[in-house]
Formats: sequence, C-alpha cells, structure tokens
Amino acid sequence: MNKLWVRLQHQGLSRDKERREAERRDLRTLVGSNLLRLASLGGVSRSTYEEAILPRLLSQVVSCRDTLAQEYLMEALVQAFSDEWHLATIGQLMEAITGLSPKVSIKTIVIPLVDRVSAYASRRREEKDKGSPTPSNDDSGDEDKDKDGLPETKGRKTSRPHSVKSADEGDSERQPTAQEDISISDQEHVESHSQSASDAEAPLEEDAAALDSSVQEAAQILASTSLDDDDGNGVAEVIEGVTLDVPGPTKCNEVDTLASLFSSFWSHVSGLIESRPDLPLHDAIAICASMLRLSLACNPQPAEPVDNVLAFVREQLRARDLSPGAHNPATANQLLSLLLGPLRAYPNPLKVLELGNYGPLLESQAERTRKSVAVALLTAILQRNTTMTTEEEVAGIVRLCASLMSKAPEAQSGSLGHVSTSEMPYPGTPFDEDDLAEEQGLLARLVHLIRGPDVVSQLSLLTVARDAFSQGGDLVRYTYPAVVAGATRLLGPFAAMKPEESGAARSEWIKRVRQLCRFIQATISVLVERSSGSPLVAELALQLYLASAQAASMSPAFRDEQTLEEAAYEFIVQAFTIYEEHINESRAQYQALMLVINALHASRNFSAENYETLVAKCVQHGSRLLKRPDQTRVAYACAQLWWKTLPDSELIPPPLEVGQDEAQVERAHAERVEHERSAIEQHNNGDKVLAHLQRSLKVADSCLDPVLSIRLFVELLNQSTMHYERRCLAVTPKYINDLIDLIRTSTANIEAFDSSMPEPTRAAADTGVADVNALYSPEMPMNTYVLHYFQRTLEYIQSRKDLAASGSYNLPDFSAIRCVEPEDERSSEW
Amino acid sequence: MHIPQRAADIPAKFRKLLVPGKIDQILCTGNLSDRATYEYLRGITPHVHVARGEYDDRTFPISARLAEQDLTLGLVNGHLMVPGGDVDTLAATARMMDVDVLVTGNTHRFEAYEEQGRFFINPGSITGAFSPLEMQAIPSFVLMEVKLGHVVAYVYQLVNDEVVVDRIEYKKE
Repeated sequence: MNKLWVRLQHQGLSRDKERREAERRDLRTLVGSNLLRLASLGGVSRSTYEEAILPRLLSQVVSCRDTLAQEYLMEALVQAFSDEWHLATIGQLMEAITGLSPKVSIKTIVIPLVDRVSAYASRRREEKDKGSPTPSNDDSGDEDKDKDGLPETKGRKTSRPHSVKSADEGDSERQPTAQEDISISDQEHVESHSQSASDAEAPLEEDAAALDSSVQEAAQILASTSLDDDDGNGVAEVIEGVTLDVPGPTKCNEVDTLASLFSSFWSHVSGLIESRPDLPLHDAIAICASMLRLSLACNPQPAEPVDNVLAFVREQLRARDLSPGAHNPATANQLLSLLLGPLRAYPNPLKVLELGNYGPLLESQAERTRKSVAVALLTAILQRNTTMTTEEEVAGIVRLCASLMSKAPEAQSGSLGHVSTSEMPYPGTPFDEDDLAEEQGLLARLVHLIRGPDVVSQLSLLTVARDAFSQGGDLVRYTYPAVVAGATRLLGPFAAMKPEESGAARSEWIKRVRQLCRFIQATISVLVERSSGSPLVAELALQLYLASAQAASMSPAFRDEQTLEEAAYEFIVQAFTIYEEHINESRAQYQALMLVINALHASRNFSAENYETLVAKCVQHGSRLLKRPDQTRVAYACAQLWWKTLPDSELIPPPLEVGQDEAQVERAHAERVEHERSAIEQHNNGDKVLAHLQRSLKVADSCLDPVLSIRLFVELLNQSTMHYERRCLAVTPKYINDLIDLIRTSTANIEAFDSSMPEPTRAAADTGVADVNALYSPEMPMNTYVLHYFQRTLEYIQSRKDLAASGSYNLPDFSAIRCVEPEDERSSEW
Repeated sequence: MHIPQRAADIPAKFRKLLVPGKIDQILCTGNLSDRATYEYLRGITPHVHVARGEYDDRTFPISARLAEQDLTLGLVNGHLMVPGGDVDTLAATARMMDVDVLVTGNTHRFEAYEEQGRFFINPGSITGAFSPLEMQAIPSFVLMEVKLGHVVAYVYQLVNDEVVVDRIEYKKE
C-alpha cells in the first residue's frame, strides 16, 4: 500500500502537486492504520518483530524515498510499537533514519522516540519505588522473568478508565488519544486495541523466556534515586489499582544497565547526527536536549552521561565553525533549554558544578543565554535553600554567574542600536535600574547562603565571593553590602570565641579579628571608590561603617582590646570622611549625623580621648548644618551622648537553663550588669550635657518662625525632663522651671496663639521655614499642635511628680518643678 | 528586613502564614531595602504603611500616624532617635505624636510593653537580620487585632525553626 501511496504522489501533473499533497495527507490515516493493526496483532513476539517485521517495514520506508511518506511512516512506527521493542531495535531504527531522505525532518522522529524512552525509563523507576513494598505473589514461576511485561500490561488494563492522561501512561501507545499524530480518534479502535493488548499479553508471557535479556534488564531497572517526578504520580494511581506481581527488586546491576541503555542509545544518536552534516544546528541541539532529558530520567546521579552530551554539543558547535554570535534565535533557545535541563532535574543545584563541560559550554554562549542560565541557577539555589560550604562550590557558582557581573556594552552606551561586539544580533535585555537591581539582588542573596563550617572559613568564603563580585565594576554597590553585612555579622561569633587567658590562642584570635576588620574596611572603601561619588552609595557606605563600628564597640569581649577599639575608631573616622566628602545635601547630612550620634551612643568601648574627639566632631558638624531646627536637634542629641544609662532590657536576667545553679546565674548576671553599667557610664559628664542643652536652646530661639521655636522648646523640655529623671544633676529643677516659663511667655506673646484673633489668621501666621527633618508632621495647624504638645508634656511631668511623691518609684524629687499654673486652666479653651 | 543586604528572604514558615486577603493593613517599620520585597508586601494587602529606615530610599515617609477604631497608632523606624530603642525616648516620641500605640523598629529585638498608659511594640525583624544591638536576632513579626480601644497582639517568633506564638493585650484607659 505504501508503494501505491507513493506513486500517487508522482502521478499526475506537477501543477496539481499541492492538491495531491493534501489528498495524500488525508489518506495517510489509511496507511497508518495498517501499521497499527500490525502492531496490535496478537502472537507477534518481539523477536519476530525484530527480525522479520521491522526490517521489512524499514526497508519499505527507506526505499520509497518520498519525504512525506517517510516522515509520516516513521512517526507512526515510533508511536505504534511498544517502548521495549523500540529499545531493543534501536540500532535498526537509527540506521533507517540515517537512510532517510535528506528533506525529512529527523527531529520530529527522533525526539518523540527519545521522549518516549525517557518517560518509560522514569516510569520504571517510579514503579520500583512505589511497588517494591508489596511482595510478589508467585502466580507463575516464569513471570519472574517477565517483570517488564506484567506491570506494563496490567497497568494498561486498569488504566483504560483513565484514558486521557499525559504521555506517562503505560498505555499510551495502545490508546492513541490526544497527543498522537495518527488521527484515529474513534473509541472503537481504542477499545479494540486494548482488547488486543490483553490478548497480546498471553503470548507475551509465553515468550517470556525467549525475550532478549538486555531489554529485560532495562525494564527491570529501578534506579536507587528517588527523584521527584511528575511521571511517577500518574503511574502511582495506576499501580495502586493493581495487585502487583512485581517481585522484590532484583538488584542486578540496575544502575549499570540503565547507563548502558543510555550509552548505546547515545552512541547511535550521536552517530546519526554526525553522519548528517546537513542537519540544521538547532535540530541537532534539540535532539541532544532530549537525550539529556533521557539520561536524567534514567538515572540522575552520575554526572558523566550528561557531561558526555554536553561535550558532544560543544564538539558540534566547534565543528560547524560557528561563532556564538551567529546563532539564530532558534538555536540559542535550544541551547538555553539544553543548559537549563540539568538545573531543573537536579535536586541540589550545586551538582551542576560536577558537569565539567557545563561551564565552558555556558561561556561560549551569547550574553543573553548566559544571563538567563545564571538567573535560573541562582533562583534554583535560593528556592531550594542550598548552602555552599566550600571554596570550590562558591568559586564554581560565581564563575557560572560571571555573566551577571560584567556590565554589557549596551548598558554603558545607553542605546540598543550600538553593537560593539558581534555578540548581539538581536536587542539585548533591558538595563533599567529596577531589573538590574533585581538581578544583582539575586547575587547578593546568594551571599547569605554561604555557610562555612566555622567562622574562619566563613571569612575566606566571603573573600572568594567578594573577589568574584569585584569584577562587576560599579555593580558592586548592589553586591558588596551583602558581603559586608555577612562579615560584620561574624563579629558576634568572634566575640563569643574569645579565649579566656592571654597567650598564643588569644593572639591568634586577635589576628583573626583584625583580619576581619580589615576585610570590612577594604570592601567598603572599594565600594566608595567605585561609586564615583554618588551620594546614595556614599550614604550606604557610611551606614555600613557605622554598623561595623557599633558591632565592634559594644561587646564586652572586645572591651579592652586595643585592636578593636582602633578598628571601631577607624570605622567612625571613615564614616566622617565620607560625610565630609560626599554628603552634601542637607537632609542627608542631618540623617547621617544622627546615625553617627546613635552609633556613638551605643558604643561602650571607647577610651575617654577617643570618645571626646569623636563627639567634638559631631558637635562641630552639627553646628554647621544649614537649617536651624537641624542644628537644634543635633545639639540636644549630642547632649544625650554625655549622659548614658544602662538600658532597661539588660537588667532582665537571662532565662534559667536546665542544670544551672540559680544563685550562681544571678551572681554572674549581677556582675555583668555592673560591668556594663560602668562601661556605659564612664564618660558621663553633667556639665557638658547642660552646655549642649543651653546651646540648643539658643539656636532654637533664633529661629525666624516663632511657632517652630516653641515646638523646639517643647522638645527640649522633654529632653531635659528625661535627663532630670536620670539624675543628671546639672539639669536642675530651676532649669526646667525656667524653660517652662519661657514657653509660657512665648506662647502668650505671639500672635499665632492669640485667642482673640480668628482661627484662619492665626494659622496663617504659622508660615515659616519648613521643618523637613522633624520626626513627625502633624495634620493639624502647627500652633494648635504645639500647644497640645506642651500640654501633654506638662501632664507627663505632673504624673512624674505624683509618682515621685508616692515614693514607690525610683525617681528623683520632682516637687520643685512647677508645672501647673493658673494659666493652664485657660489653655484648655484653645 | 534588610533584603538583600542582611538576609536572603523572609523565612518560608512565615511566608506561609502571611496569606493575602487575611490581613487588613501592614505597618512596616522600614529597611525593606528591596523593591521586590515591597511588592511582596503589597501583594499581601494593598494598605501598606512603611516608615522609612536608613537603608530605604526617600519615597517613604519618616513616620506615619493612623487612627483605627478610636485608637491612634504611630509608626516610626527609630534610627533618628537618640538614644535608639530607649524607653524614655520612645515615650517622648509617643507623646510628641500623641498616639496610644507606637510601633518602632531598628533594634531587631521584639519588645511589647505598656508605659504611661501607652502601648509600645517593636516587632523585631521578620528575617532575623542581625543588628549591632542584637547580633543573633530571632525572626519575628506581630499580628495586631485592633478593636474598640483594645489591642490584642500576637507575636510570632521562629525559634529553632518552629513557629512560637505569644499573646499580649492592651486596653486604653
């Protein structure tokens, strides 16, 4: 019939060619059904198939030399016969394919074949994993050998109700439904096929003994890995409905056999590709990609088969003498899916490092492919939370992501039209700020998954990562902060690790800590350099310095160490340098100064001179701020620096652990508290507090906007009360009383508070210099707000008075402070 | 949260709890430091209030004040307050903003207490990012149920990879 079919093509006039083609296509189902009948014939053993049927079929197909027929018939052949038979006859199939006419698209034949085999292989593995608990019932002795046939066929029977499933159904070849090209969709065919399938079982079983051993073993192959596989789920349902006669796993070289299965297949396929030089490259790569999937489905564990595939692809690329840039998009896409395959399949993305050829293949790709693969790799690592613990792992991964770190020429030139290398025949990826930040953010997050086995090695791992990131030029501003943060965090464990007595161990420890501090400093300074003075990055660097300074100067373990005090001092000095050189905008200046003050306030380990120098610097910069309210606030913040107390949270003793003596724990805690307290309070100086408060008051008074002045006065009042509560004796009750009086007189004198004037005018009088850096901007008019604020403060002082008078709280004597005056009753009208 | 600087991501167990649609408003004490994280928060609920932290860009306000069921809530990061995290300073700030409940951050240490008739909450850091004040932070966040003059705060902490929940109440006088 085939010959007839082919002859149809050549008969008739050439102008009718297209019409004939169409007619022929319709007829193809007829031809195909022949094949199906053949396939479903009962009594056809595999050996018969192999020796008699197939060769004849194939010779028919090859000899007809007609493109359409060949294509269609080969596809039909692939789909009609069962997987195991295909496995056995791979050699013949491949030869036949080689002999096909050049115009036939090999890809459409080979890829479905490979996919079916890989689905088959993964199914077998899943079957073993799900089915092994059930012991074998020894229905028939010789069924032991027919292990492949039974689950297959039995699976087919019960899966009839689940007829429309994905390709992982064991029955797919007998129930051609959705995915088949053969357009036989009537259910009768389906039914009859399954009928004949069950008929075919019996002879199959009889021929069990005669079946070829390699396929048997292949079918028994049950890999020892338990890769989570979608295929498995479909099969699991099937198998649960089946009383499995699958005997207990005979672990006869399962892994090896699968590997040999793959390698034989692979040798055929590679031979095929090599013998067909005219095969378009993207087809060849697509075939390789599906072979890769096959190998991963067979057995994901050994890296070698996958590596071989990759090596072959590289060979092909080289042999065809194409530069990476000349790839058309189709090829590039295929290569991309090829490279992404292992990433998706391996549960541990780091396994990709074992594939020796992966890196070089990746590097030879176009920019875009490399980036996509790098992003996919990073996402996989982040999602699965895989930690990297050795230098090789870290180095390997960052090398694979190297494409993310170099800035492409487009970004710098800013226009997509500019193609500086031959690399980008198509428009590159958009390089706007957000996307870039996201990509680099992935790299930054990677840093947190680096967990060295101990602190010292962690530092070396971070160094490796940092050096790799430094290739990014000024992209480091996204990645370095994470590295620095990782390093700063190490200061904590280091503090805990301090050796008890001085000696060799301690000097070793000091050396390490110094190394760490130097690492931090070097990294941040490179960050500043590369940022070419951008104020945002400068602020970031400043904050990083401050965070490190705080970390270095808080812990008791670091207290008497010269090295660490120097390091902390240096960090703050560097922060000031950045402030002076790069931060020029007044809002940023205010924020930066406040951060420095906060860091100084938190520090405990500075010696007196260092502390004084640093605070003096703060004061100096504060007084040079542009806006008066900023100056005021910095001044009273500096006042805070001279009177520190132990935070309440540290007074709480740690929870008692099992096996600890309560009294001892308490004593240790009390000791600690005492040490901390003395460290914190060592610089306290009441006079300086007062001096700063007075200075602050003076500046506040000089504000042009009177309402703003009063607001600042009230803030100062709060601050003074705070100091008084903490028993800073320089802040006397008289001082507070004077301040209260000042506020009262000011509010009385200013038009904005004159209750005789109508409200809109009053509010309008409140137009002055905007107070941008205030912590809180009320929605109500400022004058009202200020009055209420004052009121609340007075109420607070009153409450403190009452508490102090009751004597039950640890408060100084508030009785001297006058806060309730007759005028206050009037204020409630406002 | 300090993503991506100090942490890779919000812990998976917390992500499972933060289901979109169940939460009315999010008060974030700042330092998200990542656009993607902000979008993630927006995905949970569109009403997100963020107070600027030192690592955020200028688009967020430095403080926020909300009125909810006759309670006023204040939100501020706290990095500009000296001394940071101190009880008296926080009390002074609450006085300045005239709020009943003050939510602050910056120390990465969970705290919740009542002082001078106001309620102070520091939800800690949801990613457990370290801070110089708290080098081994425990990931935590707080879910507040606000009723008429009454707040019930549930704090979720991730201790040894287990989610531990605690409950604190506050009633306005």
